[in-house]
Amino acid sequence: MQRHRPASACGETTFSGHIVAVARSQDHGAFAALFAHFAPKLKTYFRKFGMVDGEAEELAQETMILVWRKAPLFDPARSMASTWIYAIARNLRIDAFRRNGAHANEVSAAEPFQTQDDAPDAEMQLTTAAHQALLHKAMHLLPQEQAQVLQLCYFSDRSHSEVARDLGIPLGTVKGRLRLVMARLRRALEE
Amino acid sequence: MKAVNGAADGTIRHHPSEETLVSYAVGGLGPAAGIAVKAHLLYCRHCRATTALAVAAGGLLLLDLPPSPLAPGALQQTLDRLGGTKAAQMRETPAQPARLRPPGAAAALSWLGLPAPRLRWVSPGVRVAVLLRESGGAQGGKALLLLRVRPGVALPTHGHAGTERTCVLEGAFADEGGRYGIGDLAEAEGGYNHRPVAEGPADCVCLIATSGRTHFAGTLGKLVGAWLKI
Repeated sequence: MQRHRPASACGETTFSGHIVAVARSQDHGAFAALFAHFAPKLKTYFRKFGMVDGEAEELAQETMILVWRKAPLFDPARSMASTWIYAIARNLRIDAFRRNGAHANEVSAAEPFQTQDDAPDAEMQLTTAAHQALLHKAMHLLPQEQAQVLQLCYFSDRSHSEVARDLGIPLGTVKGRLRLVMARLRRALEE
Repeated sequence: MKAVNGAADGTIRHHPSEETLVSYAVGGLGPAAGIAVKAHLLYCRHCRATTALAVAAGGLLLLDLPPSPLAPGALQQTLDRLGGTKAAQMRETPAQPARLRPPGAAAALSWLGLPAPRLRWVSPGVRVAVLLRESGGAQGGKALLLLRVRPGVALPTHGHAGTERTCVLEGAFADEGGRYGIGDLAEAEGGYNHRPVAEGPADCVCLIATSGRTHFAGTLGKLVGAWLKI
């Protein structure tokens, strides 16, 4: 599996600052900078879930529109920019998935169903550039087999059983690797 | 997410597995199981922290994704779609709920965005509402139920094709796996057979996310299962 360069260490602070600038003064320059960095990656994110080019582009743009609209809700003391944008994209993907195809009418009894909101807790101090750097470093040092399971769990619709089947390993191994990843991330923050 | 403030925090004994929390963080659980886990998160600081870590991992994985070329003029297109609107003055979630001591089922449901359900009698001491139903996959559908069970009453022995997740909102119940109080989440893997009994003194109210067909033992159980279509 391909590994990519870590983002620059100062990135997080810059991105957070851009979101705050959008919130404070509808700063188009700050928005353009966020767009340039995130929109192409968001498009890749949506494509990984099997969306065609046009749909992925559309959802990448929609994500950025929500970044603009929700910017006043962003609290740099509570959340990292990348976490916040990821959660917006994830929720859009879930909504799109529910609207489309086989899963239309999926939710029958409790409309409207609200998409999950799990902005990281203030109790979980993950917000500084230093924390981000520690976590990011730990993720780049994951053994290949853990990184692979992580990619499939984060960037596909596959259930853990399906991931196990596709990799030809037992379900327990998939779960075990995920737990190992979480343990490593937790340890990285304790250093 | 913020906590339903309560004495419950710190006394939680049964948690979802870490891999369940990762699934929740990536949006892979589906609405029924997602709400059961979210209910647990209202009460459990430990699992909120794990979930936050898993979402943060998602953000970092996103940063590492290679870029896909955008359509020409994508930024301008997006700016045009903003339509000059101001960044909205919106509030996403209600502020931290008032101190709910104890955080009863009604408060928890409202916090989860679920309407107050009308419970229907299904068997002596057991009232149920189906809160939502997901369309079936290969192994049968998923559903979210709310149960209110009188103390001392046992549910029919049953097993599952898929995982069943139960979060207690009021009271307590016990089964072969232990005792479950407010905020505890019982995660029963497929194939696991159990016979939960509500413990006193008050009714036990819980959210149950079923996945896959539920198999009941005995005639009464089969009737209940048929009625609920689970």
